Amino acid sequence: MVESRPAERRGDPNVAVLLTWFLPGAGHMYVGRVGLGLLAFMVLEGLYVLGWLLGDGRTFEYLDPELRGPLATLLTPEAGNLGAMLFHLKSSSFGSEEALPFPRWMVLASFSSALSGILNLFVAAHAHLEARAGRGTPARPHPVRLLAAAWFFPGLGHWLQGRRLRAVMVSGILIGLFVLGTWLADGTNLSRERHFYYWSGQFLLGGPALLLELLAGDARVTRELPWVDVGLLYGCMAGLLNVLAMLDVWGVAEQRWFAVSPTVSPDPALEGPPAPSGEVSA
Amino acid sequence: MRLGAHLGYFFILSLAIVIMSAFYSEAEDGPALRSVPRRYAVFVGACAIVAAAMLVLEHLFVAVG
Repeated sequence: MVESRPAERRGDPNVAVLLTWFLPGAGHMYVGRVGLGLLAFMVLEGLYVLGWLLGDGRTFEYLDPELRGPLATLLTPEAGNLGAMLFHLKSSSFGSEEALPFPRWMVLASFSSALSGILNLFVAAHAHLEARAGRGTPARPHPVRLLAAAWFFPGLGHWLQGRRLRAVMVSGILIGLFVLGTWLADGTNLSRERHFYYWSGQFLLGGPALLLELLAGDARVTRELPWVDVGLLYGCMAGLLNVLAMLDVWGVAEQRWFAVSPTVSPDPALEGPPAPSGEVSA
Repeated sequence: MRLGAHLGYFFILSLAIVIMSAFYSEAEDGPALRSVPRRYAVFVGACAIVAAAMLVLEHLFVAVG
């Protein structure tokens, strides 16, 4: 049985999220978790700097010149780490004006900076919970861990929640859609250089997209691809639909988390819209 | 044949969209799956209306043929 204690809030959750968005770890420092904040800052900014160093700061040079502009990079995974992305744009902009070959580790550089942005979204979600929950929250599968699992492998978050049928269906639908799209596009979707924005969408599919790109990325085009547009759409939609799956996992995880934790701040104004799923029982 | 393939790809993708949105909206698997046919019909019907409107507008105002 969990001891009941008065509601205890460490700070404004929305402030914690905004601070984290601009500077990883700042939200945690705001709510008093200084050590965790410093760790998040070092890991996430380290990932971004690694990407910058490996790619000579030329990640956004992938974007077609006619699409470049002050808001053009907001639809990239890097936008999840907004401060680093703005600094990147300020210092390197869209790369060299000359047509130079990309550095050898450009793909890894792109992964690293994009991963920094995605992981910072999980850190922001964690900061939001930390601001709402007091110390002494019972140890359970943490909602952020489930959220990260749902991104890393579609369906894994549902599986860890015990929602096995849904996990299998989500996994089958999304990975099937992505594989079918990759087949229709003959693997050309697995390249950020070719399809900058579609790549950003399919990056939201997590592990399967990363793995397939590492194994079969940068495919050569040796024939006409009549269904390449459909393939690109399928790959991108698989990633975008995984966001719905992640929100479903998050909604149920958050309800379960707070249902067993009497030390949280039950302020309904901070709860946001109703969770997508009405399941409350653990 | 080309139109048939386009429609086939549309039906596949729209089914994925509808199932994922049904899962997002319903907590229990049973009600979620039972709601899929109705949601699918509404989604496809709405898309057909939009497509028809676009074709009519194209025919009336921007036809280049």
